[in-house]
Amino acid sequence: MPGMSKPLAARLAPLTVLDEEGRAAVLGSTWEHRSAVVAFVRHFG
Amino acid sequence: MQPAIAERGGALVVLGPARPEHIAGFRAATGYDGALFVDPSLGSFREAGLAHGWAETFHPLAVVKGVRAFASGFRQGVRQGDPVQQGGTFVLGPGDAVRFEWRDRHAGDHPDLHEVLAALDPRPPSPPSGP
Repeated sequence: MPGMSKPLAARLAPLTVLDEEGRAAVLGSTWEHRSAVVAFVRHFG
Repeated sequence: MQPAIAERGGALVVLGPARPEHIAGFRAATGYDGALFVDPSLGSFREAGLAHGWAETFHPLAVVKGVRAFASGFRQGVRQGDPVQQGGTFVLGPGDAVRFEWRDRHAGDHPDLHEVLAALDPRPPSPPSGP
């Protein structure tokens, strides 16, 4: 896979996720300028 | 944990395998008011290499931890999202930096929070004082 040579942060950065209003947000914007703890939770509830 | 992360100049971002309409319930249940997103496509979970499947969800260690949690009074609410998706914790950035990676091997498997916080603060220890 060509993308696998990139670091994880670079692979995740362009992906879009949704906020509570359903608006798309670019995931990498959260750690572009400072470190971020990114917690993927199993489920809500 | 939010204050400890902020003290180290970092941010906390929570991402769930659910839908936007599930976010309000999560905030109400946890009191968490920070950055929170969902990815119903699970594309980010796959890209992060997180486990997905019944074997991980009902791993023997997960069952033991579940029984202990139940015995101590914890009651899980109604699950929202993908029930067999496993989680993970990463410290990323600035930019492409990857400071910490943790992928849950089964339900109830979590990283050491001290290691997570240490990854946020890469400053070397202060040199010993004195002559």
